[in-house]
Order: sequence, then C-alpha cells, then structure tokens
Amino acid sequence: MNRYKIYFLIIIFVIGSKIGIAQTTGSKNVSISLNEVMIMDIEPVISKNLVMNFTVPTQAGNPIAIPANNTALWLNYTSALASGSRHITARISATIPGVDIKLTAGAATGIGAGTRGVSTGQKILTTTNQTIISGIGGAFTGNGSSNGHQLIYTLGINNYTQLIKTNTSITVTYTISN
Amino acid sequence: MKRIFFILLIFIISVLSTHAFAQSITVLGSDWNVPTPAVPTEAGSDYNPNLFESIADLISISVYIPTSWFDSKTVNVKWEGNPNWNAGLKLHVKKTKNPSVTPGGCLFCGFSGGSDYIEVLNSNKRFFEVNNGIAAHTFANAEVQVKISGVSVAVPTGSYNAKLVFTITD
Repeated sequence: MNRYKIYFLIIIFVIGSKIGIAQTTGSKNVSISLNEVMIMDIEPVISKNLVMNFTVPTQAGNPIAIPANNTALWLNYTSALASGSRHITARISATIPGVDIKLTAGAATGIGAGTRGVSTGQKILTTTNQTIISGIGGAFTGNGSSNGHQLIYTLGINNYTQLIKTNTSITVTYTISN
Repeated sequence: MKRIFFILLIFIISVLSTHAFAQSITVLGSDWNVPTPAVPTEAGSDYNPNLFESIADLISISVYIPTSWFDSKTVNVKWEGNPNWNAGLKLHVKKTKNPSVTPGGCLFCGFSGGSDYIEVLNSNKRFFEVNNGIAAHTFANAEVQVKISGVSVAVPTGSYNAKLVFTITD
C-alpha cells in the first residue's frame, strides 16, 4: 500500500471518529392528561328547605304581604371541559295558582376561578327548564356559602282571583349540562 | 503530490480537533408521564393537590468542557410543545445532586445555581453553571427533578406533552 493510500485512510479515520461529537442540546418529555368534570350542588348542605309565607293583613283593604326575598342558598359547581361552555337550568315541580316563584342567580363571587358563568337574570320558574346561568367554561366556584352564585328567591302575586289557602311544597330542580 | 496530501491531512486534523474538543451536553434519564390526577369530587372545588413532583433523579445531565483556562459554561432550559402544552401548566426543574468531576482533583472546578426550583419558560433560561479549571473535564450525572404546577379545571381538558430542552452555552 503506498503512502498516499495510507494518508487517505488516516483522513477517513479521523473524519469517522469525530463525527457526532459536540452535542449542545438534549431533552426529555413531560406529559399529563386532564379529564372532564361536571358537578354541582346547593349550599349550605345542612338545610336547603326554604319557608316563604304570605302574611294576611290585619287591616281590611290592605293587600296580602309578600314574604321577603330568600337569599340563604348558594349554587356551587366545578366544570372542566375541552372547549365550549355549559349552562345551568332550573324548574319547579308544580306551579301555585296566582303565585309567581321567581329566581335570580347572582353574579359569581367568592374564591373560585376560571370561566365562571353569567346570570341570565330573574326568571319566573315553571315546570319547564329555564337557563339561569350560562357560559360556564373550565371553572370552579369555591365550596360552600358565599362562593359561587347566590340564589335569590322572590315571590309575587300574578292573579288575586286565583289565590287559595294552601300549604304547598315545591321542589326546585337544578341541572348543569353541555 | 505527497506534500499536498500531508498538508490536507494536517488541515483536516486541526479543523476536526477543534470541532471534537467543543463543549457538549448529554441528557439521560426518563421521560415523565404524570399519572392522571383524580378529578375533584366536591362541587366548587379545584384539583387538590394541584402540583406533582417527579423522582429526584428523573433526568441526568453530563457536561463536557474541553481544554480551557478557567472557562465556565451555562446549562439552559426551556420547554417546547411536543406537540401541545398549555401555558397554565407550569414546569419547574431543580438540580438535586451535583455532578461528579473527572478527572478528579480539579482544584478550580465548581458549579453554581439550580439548587432551588426554577420555572421553565418557553425560551432559554439559565439553569446552572459549570466552572472549569485547567484541562478538559467531564461533569457527569447532575441529577434533576421536575415539578408541574397549575393543574386546574381552568385548564382545558386533554392530553399535553412538553419537551424539556437543555442547552449548553458559553
């Protein structure tokens, strides 16, 4: 083998042994998956039963006294979703002749975060679902009273001629959905 | 002809020697697949806990510094979506064990930074420095722990993957 071939082999050896050195970067991966959540409840847990009595007047000619608004209950929820939004509806189990049962969901307040929903204002409840909060994205309201949406119940008389003496229990059903 | 070959040989060796003796970094260890967090069960609540840590030696970083005169190199870190990451999920790294130095007995070798968690951004950020003395040294197996925070229902659901990229610079 002549010297030129030897030199050529040396060149090839040096090139081959040095390719790939001087790596200036390296990496590792981190992965995580987050699942959907959709839960809601009414606080406080201890008592969700409300008593709202009309008071008969003592002076003839005066109207029946409408009970004060009830603001004891709060609506809490946790929502996790990929995109879009959710809403909350309310309905009652039965109507009372001559009486309006109105519900207003207050604005979101408390320690929650994320895309909490927006109240749709006062609704006169019926036996059909009506949206009371809309636009719920990924969010949590915080747990317990003073967190989430305060529920404001208001009673009214829509027709005196239909009023009868009664002691009626009405169930309000809330539903969170896509 | 033989003179040309000899000159060419010397030239190639000198160029490749410079290239061969450049600083380098080696990143070993494991990827981290965070176990899917249990979703909140109480209405109104967020994830609790909302941060997770890897094992202390998830990643091992080794740095080679060529023959130098009191040279120092910086190990930087950043994240890249691979393919998707959510900026609400925060990544953090810290060095849990310093590298060993070879050959040993390096009087002026040392390291600084990285002992506390730093938040990783999506642009290069200083993680720790390696200080070399005289002659080439390998700073082997600095152990790195990773933390993820900001796990929340406010982050859109789905699967996320980020690449932690470590880069050595002057």
